[in-house]
Amino acid sequence: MSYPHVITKTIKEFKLISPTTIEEALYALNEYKTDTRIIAGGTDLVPLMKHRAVTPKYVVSIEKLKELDYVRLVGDQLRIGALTKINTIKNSDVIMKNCYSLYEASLVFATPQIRNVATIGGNICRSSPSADTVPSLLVFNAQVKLVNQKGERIIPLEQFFTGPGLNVADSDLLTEIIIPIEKGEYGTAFHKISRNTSDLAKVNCAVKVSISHEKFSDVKVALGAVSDRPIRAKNVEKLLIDKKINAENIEKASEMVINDINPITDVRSTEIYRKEISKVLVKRMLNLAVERAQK
Amino acid sequence: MEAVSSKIVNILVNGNNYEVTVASNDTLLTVLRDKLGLTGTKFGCGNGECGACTVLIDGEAVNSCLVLALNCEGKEIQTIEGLASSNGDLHPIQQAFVDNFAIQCGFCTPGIIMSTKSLLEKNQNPTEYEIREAVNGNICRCTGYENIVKAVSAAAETLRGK
Amino acid sequence: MAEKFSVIGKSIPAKETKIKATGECKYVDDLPTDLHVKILRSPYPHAMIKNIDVSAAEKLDGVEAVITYKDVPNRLMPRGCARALYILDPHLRHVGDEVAAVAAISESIAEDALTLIKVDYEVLPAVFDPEEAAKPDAPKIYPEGNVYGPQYEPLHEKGINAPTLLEWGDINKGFSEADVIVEDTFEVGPQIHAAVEPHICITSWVGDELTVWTANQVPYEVREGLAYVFEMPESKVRVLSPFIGGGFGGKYLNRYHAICALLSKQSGGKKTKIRFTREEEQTNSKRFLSKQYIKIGAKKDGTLTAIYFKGYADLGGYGNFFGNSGFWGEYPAAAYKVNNSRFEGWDVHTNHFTSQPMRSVQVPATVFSVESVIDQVAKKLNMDPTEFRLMNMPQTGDVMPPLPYTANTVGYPRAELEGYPSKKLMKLVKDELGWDKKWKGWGRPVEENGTKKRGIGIVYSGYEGGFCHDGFMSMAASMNKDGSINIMAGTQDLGNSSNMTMCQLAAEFMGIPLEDVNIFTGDTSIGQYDYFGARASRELTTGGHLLLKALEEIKQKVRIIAAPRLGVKPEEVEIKGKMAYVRTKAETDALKEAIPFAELITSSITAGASGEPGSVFPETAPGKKVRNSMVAGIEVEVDTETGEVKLLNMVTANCPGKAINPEVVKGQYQGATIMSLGYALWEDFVYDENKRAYLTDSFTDYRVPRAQDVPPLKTIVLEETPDRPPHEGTPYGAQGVGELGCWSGPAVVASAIYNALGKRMQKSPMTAEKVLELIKEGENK
Ligand SMILES: Cc1cc2nc3c(=O)[nH]c(=O)nc-3n(C[C@H](O)[C@H](O)[C@H](O)COP(=O)(O)OP(=O)(O)OC[C@H]3O[C@@H](n4cnc5c(N)ncnc54)[C@H](O)[C@@H]3O)c2cc1C
Ligand code: FES
Ligand code: FES
Repeated sequence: MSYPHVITKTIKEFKLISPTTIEEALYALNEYKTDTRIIAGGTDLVPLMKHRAVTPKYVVSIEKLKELDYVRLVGDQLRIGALTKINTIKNSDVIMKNCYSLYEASLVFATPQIRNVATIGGNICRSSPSADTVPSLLVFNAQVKLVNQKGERIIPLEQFFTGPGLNVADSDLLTEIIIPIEKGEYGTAFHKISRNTSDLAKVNCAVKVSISHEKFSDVKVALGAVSDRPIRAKNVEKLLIDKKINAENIEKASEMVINDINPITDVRSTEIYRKEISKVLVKRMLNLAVERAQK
Repeated sequence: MEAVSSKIVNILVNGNNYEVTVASNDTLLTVLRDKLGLTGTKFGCGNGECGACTVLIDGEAVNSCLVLALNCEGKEIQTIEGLASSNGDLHPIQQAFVDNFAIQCGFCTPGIIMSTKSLLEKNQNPTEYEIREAVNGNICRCTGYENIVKAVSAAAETLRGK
Repeated sequence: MAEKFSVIGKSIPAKETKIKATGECKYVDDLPTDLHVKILRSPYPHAMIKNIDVSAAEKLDGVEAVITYKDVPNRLMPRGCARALYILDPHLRHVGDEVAAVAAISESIAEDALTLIKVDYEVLPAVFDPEEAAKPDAPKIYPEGNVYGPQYEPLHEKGINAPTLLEWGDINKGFSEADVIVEDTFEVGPQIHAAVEPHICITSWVGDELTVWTANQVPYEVREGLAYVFEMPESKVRVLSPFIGGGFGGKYLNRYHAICALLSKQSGGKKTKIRFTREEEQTNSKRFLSKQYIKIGAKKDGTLTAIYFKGYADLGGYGNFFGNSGFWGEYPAAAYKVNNSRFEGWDVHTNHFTSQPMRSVQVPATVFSVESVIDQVAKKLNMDPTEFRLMNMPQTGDVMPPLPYTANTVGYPRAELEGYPSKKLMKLVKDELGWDKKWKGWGRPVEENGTKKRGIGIVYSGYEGGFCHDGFMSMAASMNKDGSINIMAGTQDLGNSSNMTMCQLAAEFMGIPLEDVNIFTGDTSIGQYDYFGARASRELTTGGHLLLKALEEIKQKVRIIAAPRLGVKPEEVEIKGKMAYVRTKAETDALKEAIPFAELITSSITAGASGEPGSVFPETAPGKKVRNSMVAGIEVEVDTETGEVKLLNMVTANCPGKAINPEVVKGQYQGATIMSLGYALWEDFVYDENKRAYLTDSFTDYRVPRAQDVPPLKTIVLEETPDRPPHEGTPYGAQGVGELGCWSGPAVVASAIYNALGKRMQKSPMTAEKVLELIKEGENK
């Protein structure tokens, strides 16, 4: 962001459409195809509109779609409605039990006021490389449901992001996040390194490990703010699967994260620092997840 | 389902119903301050960062500078003006802030008091950790937060006694 | 003074806190306006406007006035203690400098109008480092050169383009006597004031009278500047500054008032308002960036022999205030008893936005550098750093500097320290922190736990405790017939309870209840004056001193009236509790014959006080100097893999002289301490030269401390009052309390990191990136 020659803080005029059902929302999104934005909690969109980084003609508010605000277990799936607030995630026993790293992310997410309005769907659709809920969702192999008037599709979250602030949702509505829950011994962990509290991530990282016979039967590692989108650290994962759980293996694998990331220097941190602490974070989260899995 | 650029809406603030014309690009903060004359809620950043504009919507603390006012129709909004009783007596939270020297320049105060209110409505006996967490969305550049934490726990004690 | 006080020494919340808690308090942003102003700002750090076309903007519906440099009076606006400037200038000196301004009926129309203004710029070479900018071949931000010093009017007669100097003894001799010498260089970034309330003002004209509502620490400077540029008498400019939502030295920019007033004038006098956006707020005022070179020598036994200090401070394109590098040299030169010292301070313009003092000006940077070298000298001598400081710190009764000045471009008097219990403070902090148990010696952390290392640090600092400058301020008081008191104050309350403190002083001094005192302030039409304003922790020391002088004069007037009726000489009359009685008699007898004011006076009695004209550094009492001293200690845990520094526990001990309102005093210390911890760790200032952008223009990317960031903090207050009448010198021996809490953050954190890692930070803020770099330094070599 270069120093704005003209500093704007007022939102350009637009027309607000407030559907009360998903059908209405899809109809509206189809009707107003160009120059349209969806608004959920607005914690990303409103500042962007104030700075006139986006100047939509139409804004479709999905706030009234209460049917998209839920956390529920359906068979071996955890389903989270797109309109679920971060604060709901923070207070949800179901999430704490089944998706601990996502719960951990909600604890260090923004401020109480933001958590009260920010939605998980908005966090995903903003597609910021540093989005705090995303690494946890990636390590759980989450899928997202995208809907438009023509129909719906379910795609892996990993394929959703295409760049900073960019994703495959066109004028689709993201309605649901689907998280497969496995049985058996697994552990997860999330940590964010930031300047001080209530800050965006310099780097964030989630890990999920499954263990059988003292070996890693499955390992998933994801990081944020180290690439143009949230990423999985597949080099790390590959090196650990079917390996014995010990400090040496974890240490060696953590070093490999360098091959998965491509961080930049910005106001929050430096490329060098991000590379250094990515290794540390991966190592620490692996150790923590293992410890939790073994409990 | 129309596309609205401006509309007359009813907004419920501190138990009073206001009929007011709201543009789609008005934030709740603008409506409260400029249209309803409720200037107790402050503008500090307009970006959701400082918490000076904190109000309660249906009991939850939010940054009114990020909320589209049109979305507030039918919701219950509480601002700092709604706390003291009509005879001028301070609300126990306000009194605790005064008594504990938690107010210096006072610009952050209405926002922090609203965050406190939201906390104490759910948790009558907060730990220091919970207090600090509850006001972490409110920047106070003056006090260093020490006396704010003291004030919140004093207010909790008074409210428990009631 | 074993005197018992009835009003001072008591913790009483300020009256205004009640309406601040209810939201009824009207800050300037809460007042009505007709027009809103937006400012077009320079996209270049250094440029000249070649052409500017505002015609399209002027034609936009709802726009009432547009101004550029072509529309402003050809008069340089004086700004108190800084370089005078034009309301708008075709010569742009920083990114964000004011190019043009629009007044319109709404903010959004004003913003739209800005996008219609066309400007051609001639881009000039820019310079950002103060040391580079001081070189003769640096791009010239001012034709006469970029160095600004040593002082400004009325201290400024010695001319521009020279450093501020302070010297005594023989620096070369000092170093030749030393057994150990440490030299080091330091760089401390500028902190941004970042008050929660952005800069704001509303202006309006009725006939030829201008009214300004602002949140400003120095309303009289605003009045003076406006009266001068608009060629009108000061009597016709009224500046009101009712409530300020945080100042910290940031709230005395004043060019924007003139922009607003000119737009208001052009739109027929309408109420016209400027409110900075958060982005503007954080790209318009900051501390100075500091570069410092320090050399300190000591003998084997620990006696300091020489301190050499050279500092550069960046003023930005305009600057505000002078003598900033090391802040007038007082700190580095006078915190330690040393017989040979030389200070050289360069204030230099750069192409950054305005630097101005922030809560103790450059003292935090200077303490960081000086205390760092003091630690390193102690290490070389293998002495406990606290013992080394105890050996060399001055205390109450010491004359400072120890030898007469040989160079002193500032004009400081040499005097005996008052209210400076430095050694006691050091002992209090050592005990509270458990120093003797925890300190294991140099290179030995308090504790090691895997990748985490704990370190402990203690630093000391001493500096002015409220500049007096009583020749530049006036205070008046009026005693009503019922004996109650109205104070008409030149002072300004920033939320630091200075109004309440003044009322307490008056009530105590007059022997009346606090409820009988009222104070009027924040309005230049009150008729009092203050050139320096609410800065430098001087409102209580200077304002309070003048207030008591005025009240003493009122007492004297009543004594003269009462003396014949009591049948004694005026000096035998005691005035207390709205009565006059004979001092020499036993109290019970005296009170029996006491005459109530109601029977004595038939009109109010008014008196005003100001210091000798031009008096800038008055001694607080003959031959004495009031000094703040403080000691800070901290325990930190450094994560050696991430460079993160966790604050575990902090202790400060501070001397306020007499604490007039103890909880208020403590609140000032606490707030300042936390602010300085932010400065130490997170409050990084980032300018991107390629993007020509200040990246830290929001609270999102300029990280001030939040409630969860703050470590457990113990604030010790130790009073020490001199034995003299309350109205001679600072009132009741009180010292300024607003700034000293800010001195130590960077220094004490660096000291604790030094203990944990055995390595010294040379740059602050000490972000995790910088700490990790230090940890890795030399690791792979
Ligand atoms: C002060 C502050 C602090 C913050 N701190 C954090 C933090 O710590 N961690 C973090 O990750 N983020 C943080 N954020 C960013 C933001 O709060 C989150 O990204 C939040 O989850 C966005 O959700 P929202 O509902 O507010 O989204 P909105 O602003 O409503 O929308 C964001 C984007 O997603 C689109 N969108 C929203 N919902 C849908 C949907 N269902 N289908 C299709 N598109 C949709 C919108 O069109 C828009 O482009 C912070 C923001 C602020 C202002
Ligand atoms: S003004 Fe809304 S958070 Fe700062
Ligand atoms: S009291 Fe000034 S910002 Fe909190």
